Amino acid sequence: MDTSAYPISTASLAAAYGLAIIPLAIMLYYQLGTVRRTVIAIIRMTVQLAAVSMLLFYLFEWDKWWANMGWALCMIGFAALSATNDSGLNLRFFLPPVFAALAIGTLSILFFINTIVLKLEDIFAAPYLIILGGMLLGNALKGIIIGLGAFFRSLYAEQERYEFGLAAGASRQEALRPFFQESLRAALNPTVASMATMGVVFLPGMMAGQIIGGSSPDTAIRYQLAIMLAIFACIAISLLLAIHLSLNRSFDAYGNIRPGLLRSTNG
Amino acid sequence: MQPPSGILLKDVRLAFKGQPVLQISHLCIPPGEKVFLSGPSGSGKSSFFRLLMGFLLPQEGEIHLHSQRLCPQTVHSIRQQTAYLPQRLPAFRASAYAVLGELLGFKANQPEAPQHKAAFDHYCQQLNISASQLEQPFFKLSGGEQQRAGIALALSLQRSIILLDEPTAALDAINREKVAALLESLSGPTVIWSAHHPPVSTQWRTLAFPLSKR
Repeated sequence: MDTSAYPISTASLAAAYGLAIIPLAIMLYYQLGTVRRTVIAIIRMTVQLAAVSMLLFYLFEWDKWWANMGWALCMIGFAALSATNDSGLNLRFFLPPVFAALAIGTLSILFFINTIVLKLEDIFAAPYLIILGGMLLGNALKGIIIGLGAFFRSLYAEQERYEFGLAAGASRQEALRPFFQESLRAALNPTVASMATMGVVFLPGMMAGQIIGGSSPDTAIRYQLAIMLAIFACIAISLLLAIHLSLNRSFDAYGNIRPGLLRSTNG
Repeated sequence: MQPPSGILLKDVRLAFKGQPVLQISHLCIPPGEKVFLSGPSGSGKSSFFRLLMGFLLPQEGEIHLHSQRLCPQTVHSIRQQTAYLPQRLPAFRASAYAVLGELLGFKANQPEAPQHKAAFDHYCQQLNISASQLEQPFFKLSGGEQQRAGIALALSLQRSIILLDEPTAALDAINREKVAALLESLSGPTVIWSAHHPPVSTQWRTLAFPLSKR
């Protein structure tokens, strides 16, 4: 790939950090009590990205399929942990199905893109496996946090509705239909909305990065379209898998929802 | 000995966090019997209904409905032959008609959907529910309207056992009488219901809760 982007010197980067003073000052003025957390978040971001840039440097140099796959699986592990944690679900219960859902959903879409759309010779090539994979994973992660949380929270909140269905002769799957609808709607709506406004309201980061990096707008747009559709499919598949793989562990033999699936500390 | 084709409970013990809620050594409700559950709030009437539906599981004992012992293998078929109206109805955002459509869309109800629909219209008429009420979002109906629509939904499925948990709690005296008369007029199904106002008619067998002495 062309690397004609202007390099950013350390001094210039320091100026960018200076920008953070503005929101921090606003937080301080309005006493949001979030300054400490924000400073830690900025430090974490810096350390994590610096570490990843080193890791990527070696992975790109090496470009061994098993090393790339190994790192991809690590990313999926982190994502599963974060998705389960942030959706307020019981970690012990949901970590395995969420991990499996993210792995299957992300990798299957990624390999489809790499083989059918991009027609790569090496589908395990680091820039595609790790960078595109990371983008898919990040979005699938958001989808699962929203969708899986919504599914089980509404199932607890509207347990009468689920039981009403069962009592009226529904199979478990039929009685769960409204909860599937709610969860999928919540998880997919943001992507649908961003597709509807893409290009007009905002230019996505990937496209902006590619154009600054020297790609032609035409190539950048084609990549953006492909990745956007891939993200859309990836969210739907990962979320549906995450719910289905969690279902058997979430109900007893009588089809009644088990207690303790949500973390009680989460309100 | 074959359990009767009605309801049979044997040595059932249900407890919450060590506190006994229900203890029934033997209770038989023959097919077609009309049973009224009386007793104060918290005496275990709702738990009794939920036990029969398999929504609550007893620590000990056997429950038989429709000549089947309630267990994971039979619970689905038992629920398909039983109508149950819970005390607290779900806050459906859809209209009662749409809810009926959802229930009749279940595979188990599809074969007789037209009959169920006709029965629903019939019961709505008997309980004075208008078409415009049935088209409104269910949660926007008054408590009494929701209950009457709920009764019509439960009866429309034409099950052989009908369980109604306080179906008249939000109704005035006239509508309470209407519901009682409607339930009395049903010939065939076993009907069990609970309420704080006992029905006037003497055709009901009354079970006084708590049942601990049985």
